[in-house]
Amino acid sequence: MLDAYLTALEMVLAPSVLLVIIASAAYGLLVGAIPGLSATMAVALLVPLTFFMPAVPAVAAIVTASSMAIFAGDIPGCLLRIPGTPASAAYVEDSYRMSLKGEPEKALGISLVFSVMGGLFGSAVLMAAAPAIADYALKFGAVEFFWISLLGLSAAVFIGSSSPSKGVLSLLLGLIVAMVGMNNPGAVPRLTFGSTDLMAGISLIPVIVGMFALSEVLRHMISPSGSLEIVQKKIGGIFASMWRLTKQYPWQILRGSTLGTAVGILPGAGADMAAWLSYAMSKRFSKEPEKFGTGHPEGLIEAGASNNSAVSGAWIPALVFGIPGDSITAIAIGVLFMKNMNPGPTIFLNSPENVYALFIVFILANLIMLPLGWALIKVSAKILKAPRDLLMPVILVLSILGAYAINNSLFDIWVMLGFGVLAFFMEENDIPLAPAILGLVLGPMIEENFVNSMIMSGGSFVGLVDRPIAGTLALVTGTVILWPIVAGLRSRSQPA
Amino acid sequence: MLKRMTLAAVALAASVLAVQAKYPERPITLIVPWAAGGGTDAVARLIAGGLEQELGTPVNVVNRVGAGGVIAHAEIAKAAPDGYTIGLATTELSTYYWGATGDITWKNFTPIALVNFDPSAIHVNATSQWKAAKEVVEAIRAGQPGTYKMSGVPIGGAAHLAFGGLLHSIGIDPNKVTLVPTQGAAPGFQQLAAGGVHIVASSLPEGASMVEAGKVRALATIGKERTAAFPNVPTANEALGANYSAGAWRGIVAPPKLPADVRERLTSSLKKVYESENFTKTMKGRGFGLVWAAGDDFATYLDKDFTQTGDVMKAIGIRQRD
Amino acid sequence: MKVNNLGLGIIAAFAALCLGIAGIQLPNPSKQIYGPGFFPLLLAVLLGVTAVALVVEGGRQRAAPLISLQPWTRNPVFLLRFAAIPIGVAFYVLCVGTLGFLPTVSVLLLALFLSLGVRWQLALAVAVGAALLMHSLFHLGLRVQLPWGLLEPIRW
Repeated sequence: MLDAYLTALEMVLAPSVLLVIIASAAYGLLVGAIPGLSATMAVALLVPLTFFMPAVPAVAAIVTASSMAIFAGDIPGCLLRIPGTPASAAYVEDSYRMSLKGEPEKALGISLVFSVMGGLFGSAVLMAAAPAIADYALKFGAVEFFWISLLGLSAAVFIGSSSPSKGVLSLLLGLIVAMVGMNNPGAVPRLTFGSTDLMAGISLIPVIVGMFALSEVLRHMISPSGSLEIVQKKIGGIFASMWRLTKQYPWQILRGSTLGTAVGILPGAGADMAAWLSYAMSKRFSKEPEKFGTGHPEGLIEAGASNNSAVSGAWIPALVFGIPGDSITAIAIGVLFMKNMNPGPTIFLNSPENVYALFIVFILANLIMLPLGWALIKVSAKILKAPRDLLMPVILVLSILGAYAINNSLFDIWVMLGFGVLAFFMEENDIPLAPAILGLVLGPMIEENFVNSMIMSGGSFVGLVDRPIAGTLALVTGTVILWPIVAGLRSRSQPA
Repeated sequence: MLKRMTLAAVALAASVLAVQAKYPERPITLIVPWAAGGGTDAVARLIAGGLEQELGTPVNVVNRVGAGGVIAHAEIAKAAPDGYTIGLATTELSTYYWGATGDITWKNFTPIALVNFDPSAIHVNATSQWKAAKEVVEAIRAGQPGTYKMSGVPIGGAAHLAFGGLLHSIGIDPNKVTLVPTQGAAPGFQQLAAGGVHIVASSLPEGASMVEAGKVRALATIGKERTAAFPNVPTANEALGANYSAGAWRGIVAPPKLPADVRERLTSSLKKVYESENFTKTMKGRGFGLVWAAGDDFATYLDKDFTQTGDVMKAIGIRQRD
Repeated sequence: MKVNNLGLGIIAAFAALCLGIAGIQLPNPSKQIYGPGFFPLLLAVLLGVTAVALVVEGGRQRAAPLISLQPWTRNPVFLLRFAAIPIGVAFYVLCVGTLGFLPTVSVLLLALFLSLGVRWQLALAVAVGAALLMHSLFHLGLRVQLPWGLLEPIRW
């Protein structure tokens, strides 16, 4: 095995491959940082270019670009309150507020450093235990996925804000929007009003772009000139307080990375879900939950590590079984096949150097994220010092492009507009956006897995808990959902 | 009169020649109904790459995902018939009319050529007591409806229809096997390995990784002959005596009323791509079935497929129209 | 536009009703045990419960009016700028095919800059410059096809 690793190292350190890695890193950073363009899109657009490359650089390009994009999405979220990718949407409020408090370099530094830590953690897990973990993951069937997605939904309870009923309203909005289209187990068009475009359902990216980017543009249009000039201060030392924070929140880093990797491993759930879940978990177990949403580093650290570790975790089922761990690996698997690196155990037997090269690239990508990310942050700060009056219309056009490019669909631009205006009104009325996004992401998973579980158990609810993993998950989910309700009732019955 | 006719004929010939000489003079768009990274996308990009070299102009692949492919097919049919927008049509085209998903059939296109056919297959869990396709089928025949479940395909998907059609052809009611619908093959194989379902009818290439990992067993392929990349898997005919073949086909189509010379140019270029070493090697390497049928042969194939699909959908009970 | 809790509750109740009716009418051709109508109905019920909760909360806070317009809506400049966004997006969707990406985006950006009070020289320069930059990024860099429209003859 050692000589396979050495061969792999030689392959990766070849100048052409290193060049590809640096170019893909720059590309991933750019696409991730532009609001409206997501990490998945970055990888999808890379596919035609990988045609002309041999196996190692092709895979290296995808791994590097996706890791960078997930981190880079944090930058506009912090500086403009517009997340660059869905994975950054979970904690955009905290990072933005930290900027408003005059500490943008702290928020950005957290994003960078802890993303790297999470990514390295995920890569280590990938390298050490891919086949064994993948094997265990295969025990998860529809029933298990149902409970996991329900657990994810309960995270909405923790992310919620002031009024619980408004939080639930938002969640229901997301769930209802998720039902539009033909992509339900019954293959029956729902809420499509006869439109062919709506039959495809409402895509996540146009909704996120609309809700975060377009609504920000709208808010700018009605604000008096000269306000919202936050990035006046020079961005100081990005790495300054990171060591102190590492010592202050070690468990959060570990917990975030572990949960992120685990979520990444599960097929169908990726970096965005990892970020939401970790943020919720962080708030739930924090000693200072009331500080979340005001510019508190704890949630940022945990969720920032989480989404980057999910990117590596997703490769575990992909490499071992050809089952994608998230939308990025779904595309990557196609590229693997193209380069005759067919996923499966034979990939470890026939061409171990290629697999080890992939692992090495992961480590390399996470390491070069430090200098390249630092450079990007400095550049972004300069760009975002540009007058908002010039910046916002450009962001509008980028939002249009981002919404269009995901499916090459003009209809998606209308979707973006609609949800942007809706989000504007939601925020005017203190209806939180986060639960809606969570509902949109998780709704299809919950329904499909519930319906399929019922089909498999013949309609019996016992089928939902009679498998060991399912039963355990059910217990955990039940506890997570009921605990705050029980605690709330008990505190009310206690004397003041 | 004669002079005028001659002039007209000359003008016509000149314009035809002119068009022929000029096409293609700008990039071509190839619309694909499925997402980047999947099998259909892979085939499309192989073709696009080859066509680009043959025609000397960029061929851009555009993934128009949604509604089981009907959005992309509709867009291809609506495009201008100038040869600059073509598409990769897939099996689902034969289901749209019957399933009332859309009013579109193969007749809404100019068929250029069929390039690929992947037969569906019978996969079971590696620890299952079924070691041969015959045992599976007999168990279904003898068992109660709903005892056995299959997955890996949405309602009306190619594998669903193929397996149902196979059962129907040997006298078993296809509805005896309950479908647990999933959007793609991978979740289906996950369910199979986890023990939630008994059968996955997706094609051999789609199950290859899981078979190699020893989690899943491929018992038969529902094709006319064995697939070269999987020589040990018998055909349904060999294993069951069922002379039935069904699965997923892919072919290049263009909007209706395409000028004859553009069609000619596309077809001949496509044939060269199909026969090229790069195409055949890559397709065979992945276990994708190579099948060629151009022009009218393709139209006949599509017509037969349309009718067969309608019959199978009726047998399964999901046909909405006559 | 702020709507108080009572108002939100009424909207939610109405939506729940519509959803419920739509859900009941959904067919179940494959006769699945829990058909396509199950989740819509479930969500309609939950929405109805939420509507009741909102109305109850709204009943407690009598202070806020049902619908109140924010101060910015009284300012015609802000109103115009706000409307410019949906109009601009509509303009893009409807015209980009015929006009092409570069002309459409340049016009759109110019209009928005001017509405925000940017000097016309700067607005024009940045509008065209940004349009070209974005076009290059997507067309040359990412190989995404953007419509050429009127500029078809000089495509590069």
